[in-house]
Amino acid sequence: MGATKLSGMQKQVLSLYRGFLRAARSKPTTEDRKRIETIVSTEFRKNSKEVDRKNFQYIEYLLRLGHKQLDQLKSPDMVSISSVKIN
Amino acid sequence: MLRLLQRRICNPAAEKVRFSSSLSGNGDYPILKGHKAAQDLSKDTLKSHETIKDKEGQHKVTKKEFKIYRWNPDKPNTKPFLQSFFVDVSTCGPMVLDVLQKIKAEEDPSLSYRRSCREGICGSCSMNIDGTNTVACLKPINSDTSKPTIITPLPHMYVIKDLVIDLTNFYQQYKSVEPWLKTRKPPKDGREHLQSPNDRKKLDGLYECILCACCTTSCPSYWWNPEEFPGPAALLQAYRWISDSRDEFREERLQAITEDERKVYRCRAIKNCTATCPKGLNPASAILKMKAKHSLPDPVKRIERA
Repeated sequence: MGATKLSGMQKQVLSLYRGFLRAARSKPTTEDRKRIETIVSTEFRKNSKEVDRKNFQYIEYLLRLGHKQLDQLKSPDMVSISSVKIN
Repeated sequence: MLRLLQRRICNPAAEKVRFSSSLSGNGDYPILKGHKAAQDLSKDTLKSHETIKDKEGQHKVTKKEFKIYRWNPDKPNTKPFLQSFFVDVSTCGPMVLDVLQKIKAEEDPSLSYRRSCREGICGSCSMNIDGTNTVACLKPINSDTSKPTIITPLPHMYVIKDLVIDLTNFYQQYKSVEPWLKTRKPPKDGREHLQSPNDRKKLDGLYECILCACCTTSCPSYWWNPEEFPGPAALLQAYRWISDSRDEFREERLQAITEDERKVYRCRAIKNCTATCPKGLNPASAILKMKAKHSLPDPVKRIERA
């Protein structure tokens, strides 16, 4: 378990991640639920490795973007999310 | 003058029919009568446009430096910076928005900014130009080529990219004021809520707000409490609905806006809002009037008590 205290920004990121997983649980089919969970978890893990811990501006930008996407996902009309990889 | 024009129009063989250019006048247009802010603006624009022409009326190449705030979220490790662009203002329209269009078209297509009407009515292109918050489509270029013009996004707002900012908080605060007509009874003749011309005159100076967010982002009180304080624009609209004679929820609106120290009473009469409004409106006076309405009862009520 993490022995060091989490910073405020880390707590915000974790609560956003939790929010996404909770929104995923409210979707009708298990297939949609799994798809949302995999997309969200890969996105968060990729960013946690690539983004510098001290780059506050970019992390805050990603948090705001994430909150807007979460508000969209929470609505009952939204069924699932998908992502496309462009090289 | 008129006869000269007639001769030119009647002669089909005339090669060049030059109608008098609107840019050669002295800025005293009859259509702008009664609008002092617009008259001053047109005079300033003509003056700055004149300085970039020489005696024959030919445009000489005048390069002016523009320093524009850049930040790209797709390049997260670069910090925001001011990028310099040198633009020939003699081949460009008179307003700052024209310069931005020219830069985006010719030099750097990745420059991002909001724009729509190009005539100062939509409020999309609001940004901070040379330290003042205005709409770019109504701000003439300062033709002094020795100093660069600095263009940055509206201050103390989260930046999405370059000059584009996040205005969702601003729009939610406008929504919280409930900017629609609220009545208890249907209209008297069954069709429209009628209003006398005198009552309509009370809304002059309030309804013209284009929600550009210039005033709100110039208010230090808003900088320090953006979540709580609605900002001058929202409060101006609240006053617009309070002073609308057709609205029947006047007391409730006034009570909602003055009930605690977080809404109207966060205003410290700094008056940055009035100084920066590109439409010449006065949010500070509207807020002062709301505070006055709250502290003093209406004269009619006083008579009824006696």
